[in-house]
Amino acid sequence: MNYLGAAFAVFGAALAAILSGMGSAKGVGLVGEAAAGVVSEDPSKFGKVLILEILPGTQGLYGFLTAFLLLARIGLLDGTIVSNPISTSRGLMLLAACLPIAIVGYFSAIAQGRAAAAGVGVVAKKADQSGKAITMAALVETYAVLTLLVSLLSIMSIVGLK
Amino acid sequence: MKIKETDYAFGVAKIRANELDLLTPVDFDNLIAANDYRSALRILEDKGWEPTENGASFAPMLEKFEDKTWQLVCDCLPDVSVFDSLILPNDFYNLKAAIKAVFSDLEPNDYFIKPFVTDPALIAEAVTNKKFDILPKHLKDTAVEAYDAVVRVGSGRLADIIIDKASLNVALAGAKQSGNEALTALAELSCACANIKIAFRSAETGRDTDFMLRCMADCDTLDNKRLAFAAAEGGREAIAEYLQFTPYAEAGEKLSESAVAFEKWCDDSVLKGIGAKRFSAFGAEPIIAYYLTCLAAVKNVRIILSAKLNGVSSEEIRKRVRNINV
Repeated sequence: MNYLGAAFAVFGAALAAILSGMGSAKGVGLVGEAAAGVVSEDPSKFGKVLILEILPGTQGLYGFLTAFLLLARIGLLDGTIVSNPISTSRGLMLLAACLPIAIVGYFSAIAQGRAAAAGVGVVAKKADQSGKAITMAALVETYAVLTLLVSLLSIMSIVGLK
Repeated sequence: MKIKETDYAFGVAKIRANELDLLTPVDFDNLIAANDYRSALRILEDKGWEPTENGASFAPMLEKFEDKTWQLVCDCLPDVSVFDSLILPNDFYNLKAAIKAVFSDLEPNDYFIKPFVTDPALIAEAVTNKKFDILPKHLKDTAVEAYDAVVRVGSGRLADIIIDKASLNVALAGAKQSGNEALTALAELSCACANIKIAFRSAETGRDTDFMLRCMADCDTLDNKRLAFAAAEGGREAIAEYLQFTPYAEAGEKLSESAVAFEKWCDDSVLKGIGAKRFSAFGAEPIIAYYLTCLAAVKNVRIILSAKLNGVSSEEIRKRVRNINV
């Protein structure tokens, strides 16, 4: 039995989960440091800075979602891959399908972390402007969402190919 | 390990939260407009400054504010040595105080200032026991030279010149070593302002170029020889004329106006020097800007309270108060 195609697909799933997870960890960590700075001076702002801290965490979820969907669609989770293995070329296509969310997820999470950390500074000085700080940081999310869609649509299309 | 700009995320956010407590231009206007010294003190106390005891000097209040500011800055910096170039001049001030105290049979501890890089007790011990080897490299040679100037030449003034020049040179070298552009620009500006002051004061008191060149610190943005010759030959006007061809053209204009206007320009330029980077979310610049703003606020409060105690008019105070944009 040739599992090379499945190996490529699993490698793609791993990249999606690892890279976007790493980006989110860095982004959330950065905002967390900034948030701690504000909360150490004014604990009442915890709720507002928490929202900003959560924002860069979504890319990690997108990577996890992509990886989970791929593993489920190739039959690795329920064991059907044994009876219905995927070809090498399809495996490579699935690997390529994972790259958008893996790469853009990594960089956008870090960029969003920086924007959100700057937003924490805004909240520190003008708590009533937190909505604007959140909006500015949330705009970075657009590109992660777009690549998530590309990755998900590609995976579903590739698995459905005859 | 090299510090990344993102390592300052915690510190910058903490500083942002503290910026809310800084005195604003409106607060300074209110202080200047206060009816008397007591009213000005009440405004400061309302803004969270440590209250002074009835009839007591305001100096402890300013000292406590400076201590609090330094403590906050230390909490915010991943490595306090980043600020060395800003603090090193205090070591030299303490060296000067130690030498003067030793030769005047006074207690040096009463004259030391904070913050410092080198423990003042060590400086006092080195000067008292003539054990200059225990001093760190940046102080050792200067301490020996200044001590000799007092002992052999009998000139406290020469010792001051040696220490002041070394202080500026060491601060500039430290700033360059830190690799921080804002700190380097600040140290360079301090050297330039000091050199212009030396040239101006020497011209006013009829000192020669050799004296001026001996006093002036190394400076990349000024030609010390041209500055000294201009001062010796044409005084204030010639200095202003020479400065037109340097980055300090505005300083020349202020110098032509008055010495007070020039001093104010020097202090205002320090804060302007950091530029837009003070608003950044990362890096040391916002913390540097906060520290310098606090020092400028202390200077302003000292000017205003002293003026109120001596019945100086609001207009005169306004001429001397530094610009602070929080």
